[in-house]
Amino acid sequence: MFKNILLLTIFNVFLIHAQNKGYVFDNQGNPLAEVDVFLVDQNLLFKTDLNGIFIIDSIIPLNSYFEFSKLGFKSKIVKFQGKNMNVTLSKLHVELDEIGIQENVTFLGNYKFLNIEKKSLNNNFISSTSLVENLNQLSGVNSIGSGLGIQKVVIRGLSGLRVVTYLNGMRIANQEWANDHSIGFTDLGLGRVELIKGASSLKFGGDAVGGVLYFQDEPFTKSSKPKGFLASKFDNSHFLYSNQFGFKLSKNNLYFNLYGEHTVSSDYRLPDKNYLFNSRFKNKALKLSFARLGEKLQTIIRYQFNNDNVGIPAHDCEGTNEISLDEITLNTIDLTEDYEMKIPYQVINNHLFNIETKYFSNKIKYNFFAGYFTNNLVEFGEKWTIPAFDMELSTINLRLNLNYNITSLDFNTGIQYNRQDNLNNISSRLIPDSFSDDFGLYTTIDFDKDNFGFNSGIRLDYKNIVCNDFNYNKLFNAFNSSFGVFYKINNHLSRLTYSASYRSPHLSELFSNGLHHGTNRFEVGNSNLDIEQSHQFDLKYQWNNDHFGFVLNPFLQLINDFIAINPSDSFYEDNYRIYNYVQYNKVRITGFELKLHYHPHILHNLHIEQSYSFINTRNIDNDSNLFFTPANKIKTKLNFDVSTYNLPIGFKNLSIYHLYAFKQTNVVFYESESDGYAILNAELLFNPIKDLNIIIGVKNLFNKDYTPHLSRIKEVAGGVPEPGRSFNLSLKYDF
Amino acid sequence: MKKYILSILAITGSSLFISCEKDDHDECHSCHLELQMADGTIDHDYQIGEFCGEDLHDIEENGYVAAEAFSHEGENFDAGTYTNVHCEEHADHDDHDDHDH
Repeated sequence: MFKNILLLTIFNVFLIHAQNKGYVFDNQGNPLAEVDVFLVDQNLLFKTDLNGIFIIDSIIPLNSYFEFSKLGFKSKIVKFQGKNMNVTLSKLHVELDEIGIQENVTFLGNYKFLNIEKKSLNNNFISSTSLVENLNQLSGVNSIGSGLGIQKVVIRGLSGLRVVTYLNGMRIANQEWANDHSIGFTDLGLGRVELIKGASSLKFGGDAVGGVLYFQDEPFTKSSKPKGFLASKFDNSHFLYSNQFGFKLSKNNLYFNLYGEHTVSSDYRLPDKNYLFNSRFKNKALKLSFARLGEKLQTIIRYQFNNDNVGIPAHDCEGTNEISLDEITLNTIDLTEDYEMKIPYQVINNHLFNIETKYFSNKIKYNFFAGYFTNNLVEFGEKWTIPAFDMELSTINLRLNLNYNITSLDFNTGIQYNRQDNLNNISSRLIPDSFSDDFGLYTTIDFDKDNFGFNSGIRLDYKNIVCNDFNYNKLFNAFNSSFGVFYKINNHLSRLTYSASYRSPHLSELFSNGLHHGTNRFEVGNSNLDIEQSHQFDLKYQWNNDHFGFVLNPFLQLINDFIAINPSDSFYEDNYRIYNYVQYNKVRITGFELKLHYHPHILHNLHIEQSYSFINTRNIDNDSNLFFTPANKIKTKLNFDVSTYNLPIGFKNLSIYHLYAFKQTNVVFYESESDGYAILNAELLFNPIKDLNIIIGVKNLFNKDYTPHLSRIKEVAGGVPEPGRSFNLSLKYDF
Repeated sequence: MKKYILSILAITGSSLFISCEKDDHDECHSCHLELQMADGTIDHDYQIGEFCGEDLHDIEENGYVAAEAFSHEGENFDAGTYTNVHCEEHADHDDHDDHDH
């Protein structure tokens, strides 16, 4: 079989043409224009014309899935049966939970069994100041960071190595163990993100005790002319200027996408009008993809480059956290010099190359993926010309997945190989040269008929970790499993999932031994660490009618041999506190998320969504909390679509976002409590001329002085605040 | 034709924007010594001047050579090599133009 796939990949030169036509209507039989017709397996997007017609001039394999979606309508999945399609979309009043109410196709698995959230990232560039900020609006999701330069995702209180990130199928390994190491890419060219809370994704998540983030590029588009966009944005609290372009070409069944981005940001302004020194950053990114989407065989090749220069703000040379806010802030900003990097700062270069081949036989879909990702992290601490460390982390990922049906059962079986090498380019080092080989086998079974379904799966992982400096060579075996069941009756939907996952210790946790300026500490690994074991129960109940929706999602996660990093009483060079990796016997994380959606009958264009997330963590060994437990939060979003009123200058939409964070008193002894706070953001969308969108927004409207509990500089100077009131202007022109 | 022109403009404009960025690898920085005072405190106020490019690298790698003995804050220090050299900049809340230690 391997041989056949290889031969087909190499000699994939047959071009077959045919024409498939379809119609999309609403419930009254009116044609629907601008409906997204997404060919899931082909990652190809079409749109309906004014008559609700879409035409696909190539042969589509039988049983391919089409996803039809349009804002304000219930999306629909249709299996292609070889003839023209007539599809009816019904009006959607309650968009409470995109997954669950609507039909969806998700890359991470079947949304009916797994706790998958999906979020569109189309226009994220103009509607959000960052990628992570957008994800932050999801319930149960938080971020660790300091301003826009450093941000990373926290899912139900877990982050770093426990939240595994995939980008177009490739695992992103970018020294994600540290809180000062960001996500590693921007929203450039991205179409959507899927998120699993907890360790339910056996296909992707060998290490994902906390969850999986799966980012997917925009689909390819078929067009006789080149398509693209130009976009710019400005934010006045960071003096941030950012530009993106995109360019798409297609001919026959060949597709080409190219994207670029450049961003510069200075130090951000605090609510008291001072500027946080060295919170500046720069980004350059380039992304290109090429695809040959044939009837039976499809090949996609992608390359992505991302360069970040990130200042590390609130740096405390004394390491004692006893400095004042005045010592780390400026009272004015000089734009001729305050975009330049100052030490300490990081230079990060990421290169991602991958190739994905799909082959569709009559009964089996084969998917072969090969990817290479290299992350070069150079940190300049106390010297301009001599880095504190310069590490090259390279990851090779190979995966073969077979998807097939037997009666009503849908099987996914696969093998996966992951090789990771950590190499130091200089003698000063934080983590020694080391490597790991991870071999995984998995199979999942889904049964879904009418209103009942179940899912079950197992995954075996063998991971070998070698570090010659420590004379370390150890094999870890892990057995992951997952079981989910759902039942729907009328408007009531219930789902229960159990998952068991096992995470091997990471190179950083085993072998770190050095000064880390980004975190102001000296970190010491522990080569005696063993596998971390997690058991999670996740229950979801959902009900909705035309105008009101409700979701309740309690969960319980028990983690044995939880790996953590703790401060000691010792100091390195009298300045930097020494932190040691340790293992707790038993940790318990409990909580629930509640979501409400209200949509008044008299004002169909108005949608109000509210989510509540409550979490409690417990280290049972010493009956205390876990470090960095997120504060409980209420997130409210109001969206008022005014496009039907034909208002001046193309005013189309008003959205308001309110965040209330409760006071966090559940802390460990070396962590301070944090106050509650509320912030309000607002945004206006204009569409003055065809294909031009303008967004004017304000963040932190009331200039609230607040420090989130998960701020990585909360302990410095009594808590460094987040940016004060900021205005932003974004433009995007599609051509 | 308009779309082709826009595409070319988008790509070339963005490339120029990226490539025109200032190269900051050869910039200059003011440096100071970290001195151990007689009462055991650490002093960061003895300025040794501005260093650029290779000179900056040399002083960061090998330290500062004081050819003669010197005095600072009423205390005397011997001639010799001082390895605790700092050239980092810090925020100075009151004066943006002078934020070296």
